Amino acid sequence: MRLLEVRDLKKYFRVGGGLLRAAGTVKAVDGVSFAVEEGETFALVGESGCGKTTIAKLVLMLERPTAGSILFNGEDLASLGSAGVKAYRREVQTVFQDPYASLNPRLRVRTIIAEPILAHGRPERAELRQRVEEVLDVVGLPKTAADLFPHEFSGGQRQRVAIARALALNPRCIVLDEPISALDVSIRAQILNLLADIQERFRLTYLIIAHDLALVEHFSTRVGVMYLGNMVEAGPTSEVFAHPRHPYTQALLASVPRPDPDHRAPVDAIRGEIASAMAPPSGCKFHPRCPHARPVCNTEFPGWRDLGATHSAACHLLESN
Amino acid sequence: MVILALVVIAAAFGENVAPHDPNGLNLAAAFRPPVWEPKGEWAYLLGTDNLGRDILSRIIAGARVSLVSALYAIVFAGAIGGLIGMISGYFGGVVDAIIMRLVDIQMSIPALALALVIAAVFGADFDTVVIVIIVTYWTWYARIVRGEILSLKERDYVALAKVAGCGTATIFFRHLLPNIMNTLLVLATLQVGQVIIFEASLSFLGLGIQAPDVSWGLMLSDARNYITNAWWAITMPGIAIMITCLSANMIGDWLRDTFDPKRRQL
Amino acid sequence: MSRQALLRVENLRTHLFLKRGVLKAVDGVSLHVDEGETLGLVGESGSGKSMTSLSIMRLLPKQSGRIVDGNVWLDGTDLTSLPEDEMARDWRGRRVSMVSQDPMTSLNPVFTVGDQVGAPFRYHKLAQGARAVRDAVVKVLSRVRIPSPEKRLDNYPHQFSGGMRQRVVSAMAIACAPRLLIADEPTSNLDVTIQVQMIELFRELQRDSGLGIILITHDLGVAASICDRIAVMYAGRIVEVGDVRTMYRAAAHPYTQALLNSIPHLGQRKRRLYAIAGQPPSLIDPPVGCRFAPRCPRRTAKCDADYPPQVELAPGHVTACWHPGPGAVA
Repeated sequence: MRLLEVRDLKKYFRVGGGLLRAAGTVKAVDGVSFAVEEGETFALVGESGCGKTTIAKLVLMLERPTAGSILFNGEDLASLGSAGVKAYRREVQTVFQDPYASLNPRLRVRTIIAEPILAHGRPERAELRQRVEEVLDVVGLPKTAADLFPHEFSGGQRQRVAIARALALNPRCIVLDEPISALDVSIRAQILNLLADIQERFRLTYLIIAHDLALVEHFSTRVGVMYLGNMVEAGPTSEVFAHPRHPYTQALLASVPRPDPDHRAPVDAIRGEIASAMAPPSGCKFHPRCPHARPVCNTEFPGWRDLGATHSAACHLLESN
Repeated sequence: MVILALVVIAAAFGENVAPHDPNGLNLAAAFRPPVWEPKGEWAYLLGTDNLGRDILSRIIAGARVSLVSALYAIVFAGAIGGLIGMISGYFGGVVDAIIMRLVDIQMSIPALALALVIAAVFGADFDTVVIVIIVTYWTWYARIVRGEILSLKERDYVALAKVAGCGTATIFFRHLLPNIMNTLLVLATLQVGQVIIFEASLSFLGLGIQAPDVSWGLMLSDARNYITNAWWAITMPGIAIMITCLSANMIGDWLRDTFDPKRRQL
Repeated sequence: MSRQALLRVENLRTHLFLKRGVLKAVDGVSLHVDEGETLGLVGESGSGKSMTSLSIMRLLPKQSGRIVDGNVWLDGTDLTSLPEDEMARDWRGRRVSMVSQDPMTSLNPVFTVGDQVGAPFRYHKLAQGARAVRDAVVKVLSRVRIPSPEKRLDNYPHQFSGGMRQRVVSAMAIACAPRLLIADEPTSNLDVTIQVQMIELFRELQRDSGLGIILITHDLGVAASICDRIAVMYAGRIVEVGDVRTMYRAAAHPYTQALLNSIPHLGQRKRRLYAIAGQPPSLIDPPVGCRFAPRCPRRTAKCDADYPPQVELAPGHVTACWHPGPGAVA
């Protein structure tokens, strides 16, 4: 079942300028569509400035889309009334990248975890207490943690608190925005395993935002690769990683440094740097860096090519089958 | 700190501490110099003015007016300015643009000219002083709080509170207000000095406190005519103003340092 | 093997004197870097890798940090015993320099790039006169492959992209043709496609000049692609050091093995990752025995009692572990 669907989503930001006139427009997200099935882990991957974090904010209703729609359970978020929004907030929670910034330093862990619960009702004290201790236990923290302040924890433990808070309302979907990249290497595996465990236990759907391709390959079931506000390739993770078809996906995969002294990333896989999102290249936005660019890439925006039942890419060089 | 505490005590228990009635005329004892001068007397520690009123007693009485007006003004200016700043910073967009233009306009009107107008309309008294000070100083709070909120509202935990389903009021009072309290407090303390001086200048110009109430500014104004033959009458309240402002500023600096987490480390 | 030891660090101890107590950030570190060699210093935050490099540069936090023991020999001179003015005049930035993680904070936004890259030339009096400095800057900018350096010279840092800024910072670091370059996480803020270009740049610089490099990183992938040797740090000490191939194929210390197994690698899909339990120890009051023991799967009574001595398993492959051995941790 489709839990979350994004249709032709656009988010433009005005930059600079005064009250009436903007100096320029950044097309952070420029016509992205994808669907997340219930119980799966869908990953959005790409380099900085590709728009993946903006999509997360749009899905979390922290920003309003410029155009396009987001459907949850078949219902358009834009059409929800305030009661509908409240219900949606119960279902969709999030874990952010930096556990140092995501917990209010002045509040105790108990208050932090109880906040979403209290925003949706007035449970009895004992009930609330029990729920807080329950989710602390799920994330592997002792009951005593509830009475401490965030600064009394290490980074990994703070991220556990953030996960506990996200679980407090028993949501169906959690948006994970770079959930481990701020953590120490030896802690990352603990948190990833924990996220995998709770997904299984509570039948959660994950939308994960990441730049680390190895993490995405390990963790997700389907993936969408983004470049400068567009999705360029999407499909089952195993297939996209084994047979990347878009030149950008190929270059990205080839560039990842591997823990193998005899592996050398090819330097010519990709040229130059990402163009400015304020003045993106014409045609295919990747063409100035693409080793296979043709004249048509400069003039025409490439449409989607189906490369199999579920695998597709947006590139002039590929033929639909 | 000790000095400010003394001033506060003087303001609170003025009648009981003062050696003389601040308005008690005693023409026979007019223009007595302070005690350490050749003709000084222990009865009038800091001397007397043209009507023989004891300067020390008047300073003590004036402390109350000065402090109370400063306190009133700062609390109201802080609350009004702070709230407006929070709204402006949090909601942004058109609301923010309008409020900030208002602030700009307010800041470009000379405070004394404004005081003249208000005094002309409402008459010069204690309330006028407080109103003028509030109208002049709220913009400071609005600006600074707005700046703080602009950065605070981008914090992850504020975004998370929204995702959790918290209302605007919860976000304001749980996540934003506690984080700007320090700034407000520090700014308020630093302004005590400024406001006292402002009150003194208003009263000096005759736009503020009127006799028989006593204020430091009024004392300066009264003593101005006799500056050549009774220097103490104008100097003593001046020194009182200076010392009070200085100690208020020092406390403000100290508060800022203690609240700044970066300086608390090591 | 006619390489000479360029840098030799012997038994370095650097402590931070904090309100909470004495933090033994670096607690007996010995290492060496040969000419033209890249040593990877790998570890988590707080393992002491950055403090080691700051000790070599003598750039420790003034109030709290102090080298309490040990020597740092560079080209036969003990840097720890030099007076500060000599260190600043003849060594720091001249013969040993540094590239840090964040190129934006290393560059002053109000000066042009040409001004800033020219600063080391002027300070160390390597070029006299505006003309000569300008020429030298153009030369060094083209060495770090910045396109049309004559024009970009007059630009300000914000006019450069992240990758280009990191190149500018590298240009400043190699301006005076140093003997040793310390690169502290030089690629971790960059996107992967830019990372490849930086890695290639470091390799080129080294090939051209016989520069010795210490690369500080937590990314085992980056370390594998540039380094000749790898030293793994944990809780203020080096737990294993060896040739890069040995370290990735036959690591003997359980911490090194755990690090390699605990992060996902491209093309090796696993059901679950090996997770190292617990947290690194406090460096104010570290354990008496092996510092990794509380988190180690091979822990025995001996590990808790005494710190393990260094064992040379093969030439150049040294580990400090009571139970070294091939991948028992997986």
